[in-house]
Amino acid sequence: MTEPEGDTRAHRLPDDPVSVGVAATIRAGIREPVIICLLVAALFDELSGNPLHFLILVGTAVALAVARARERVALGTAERPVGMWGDPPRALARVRSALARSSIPLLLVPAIAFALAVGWFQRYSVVASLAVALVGAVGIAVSWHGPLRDEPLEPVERSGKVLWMLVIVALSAWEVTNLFLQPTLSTDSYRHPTLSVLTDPLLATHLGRWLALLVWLRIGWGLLRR
Amino acid sequence: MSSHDFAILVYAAIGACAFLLELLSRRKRSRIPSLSTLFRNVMRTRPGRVGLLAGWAWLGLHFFAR
Repeated sequence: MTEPEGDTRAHRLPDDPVSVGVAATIRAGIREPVIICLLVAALFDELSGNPLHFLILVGTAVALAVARARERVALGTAERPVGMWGDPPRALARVRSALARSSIPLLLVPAIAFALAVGWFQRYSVVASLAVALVGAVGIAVSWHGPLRDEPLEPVERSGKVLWMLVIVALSAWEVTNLFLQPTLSTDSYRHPTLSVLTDPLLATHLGRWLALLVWLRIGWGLLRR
Repeated sequence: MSSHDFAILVYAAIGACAFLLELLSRRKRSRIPSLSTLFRNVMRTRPGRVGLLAGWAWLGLHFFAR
């Protein structure tokens, strides 16, 4: 059974953004699983003492809720519109255009330079924090206006999707279980290690941080090209 | 088996399941999508696309930023 195509109907959004109130934004937000996931993750990050993570996650969730509320009002339907991304601001359009014309060989040198430079600093240092936050924020901003290029979409069977969801839910559940089995949310445990505790030895070295940052950039690039 | 070893074993088992699904997705006429195809489908709407990129950004923040 393939995915229902009901949400792929051609809708048109008005050129000017529709104004929406706080109540409409909240109503749209609580109906969107992605927004709930972002807010739950933000809550855990705030409880763990990570205000920077909290700000980025909540900022993204609020922006998405406002966008969804505007879409619901403009289109008169709760369906998620497909293929309507709106025009990006000029500066963002330039970044998207440059990225669309790029390739892995072309981006390899700046990516290695970024990973070397940021990896040279300690984890959680101001420089590493700001650099990673900046790249992450740019990635989110670029993704806001859709794929960098149009590619045909393969249908996905629900059964196959469910199998992947089981794996993702199992990983998340085991990670959260270990997190709660720690003495406190911000105190690591050897007996109940989270993934970040297990990767600590790797990320304690320059080489490990360099490699991890390269992998992180590669994953981001792969997502942007989807 | 200690709690530490058991925790790692569960992570490894979950990783092995993901690897197996990816392998099965490569067969002809497979009903299981590759992770790449699944992501492409999820990313056809703004919440899906931005949510996945936010997850990626969070991963970087989690390991490197505070």
